[in-house]
Amino acid sequence: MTPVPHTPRPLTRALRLLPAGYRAEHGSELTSIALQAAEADGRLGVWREAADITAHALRLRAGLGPDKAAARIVAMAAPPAVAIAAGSCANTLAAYARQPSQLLSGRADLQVLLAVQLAIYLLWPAALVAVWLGRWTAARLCAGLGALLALISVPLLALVTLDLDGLHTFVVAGTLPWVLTGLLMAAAPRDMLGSSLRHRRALAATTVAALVPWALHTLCPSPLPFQLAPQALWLAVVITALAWAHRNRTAPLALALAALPQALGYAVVLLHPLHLTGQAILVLLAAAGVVAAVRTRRKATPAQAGGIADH
Amino acid sequence: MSDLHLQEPQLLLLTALAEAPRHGYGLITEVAAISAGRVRLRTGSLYGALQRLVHDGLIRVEREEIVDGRARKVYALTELGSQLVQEETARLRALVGELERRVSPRSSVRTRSATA
Repeated sequence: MTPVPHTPRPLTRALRLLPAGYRAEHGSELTSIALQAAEADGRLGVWREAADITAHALRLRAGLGPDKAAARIVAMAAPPAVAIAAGSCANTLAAYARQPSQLLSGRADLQVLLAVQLAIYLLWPAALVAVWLGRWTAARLCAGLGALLALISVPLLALVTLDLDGLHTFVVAGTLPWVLTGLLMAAAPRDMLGSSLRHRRALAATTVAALVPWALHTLCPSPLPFQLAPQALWLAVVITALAWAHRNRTAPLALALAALPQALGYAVVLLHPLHLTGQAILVLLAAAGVVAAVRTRRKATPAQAGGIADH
Repeated sequence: MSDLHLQEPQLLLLTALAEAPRHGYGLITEVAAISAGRVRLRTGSLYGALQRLVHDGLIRVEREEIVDGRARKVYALTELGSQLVQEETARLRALVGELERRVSPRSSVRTRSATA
């Protein structure tokens, strides 16, 4: 009998993350492929394969398996979500460009925080460029770094603005959109991320829709409530798209998912303190969510059952 | 059939299988070769893609074998997968033909004389 080759520890750990039943059925084959693939790249190859198997395991555990429509929806939502994130960076980048001195003035801890935030605001447009070029690994890397830096900025923000009223809201609103968009990019299966004409059209429309409100706001600076108007737009998109969602119509669900990170960032601001607008938005979001859940769970009629629609 | 919109990695996998049935690592190397090194599928991504193609009825597990003490599956195109590859080939051929027609020197001369 041929001896079984030694499996490096990073690969063993990654394989352990697979659901038990799945690992029992496919673990041996996955190990075999990973060992052969890693052999060509050496030690770095082992880590790359381990990272990819980890991502695959997490997708399976999140219900984004190969036979699940959710995986298709996430793959459709991830690129527009990056476009929306990049659009929301445009305003701040324009503000920095107008007054670069604000990056250099003030306390040292404030400067560190501003530098981290500047890096976040540069990473998302970079991720969008990578998406446009079809460089998905680079796009995921930029999105992942953007999300990681957003998390790193939390303690920095707390240090700088310790006595700020509503600090929790500020922190959540400032990190949630980036972290959620980063997770969305990581969750999208690579083989379903496409650069077909249909995908490019959807991405172009989202990019324009993401940039125009911020560009208008940059040209005509307005008071605080109006500064949040572009994010309010995404909240309206989420509610409308959820209301249009249907079992055999996945595009509205993907659009709602793409706009959700920025919309939630806006909704959080309205929840502290909870006033009438916040309450109304919560009710609308909940109602749209219920409508979407009921319509997507409803059993398909025989006429609807065939084919893969809207994909 | 037209409801199935293939993304590039999926089309590359089907192309790799159009010639002959292959096992997992064979597909990784073949996809890298077909795409001139541009698309390098890793194990998890490959496995997810293969299972999705099996689920969609485009490929099937032809046989299972044991190599170096580990199980490995050999994948092959199904009739549906084969038909889809032929349709994609015809579509891409028509597109390339149209591109060649439009960028050919004779076409450029015609365009210049039309604008003059």
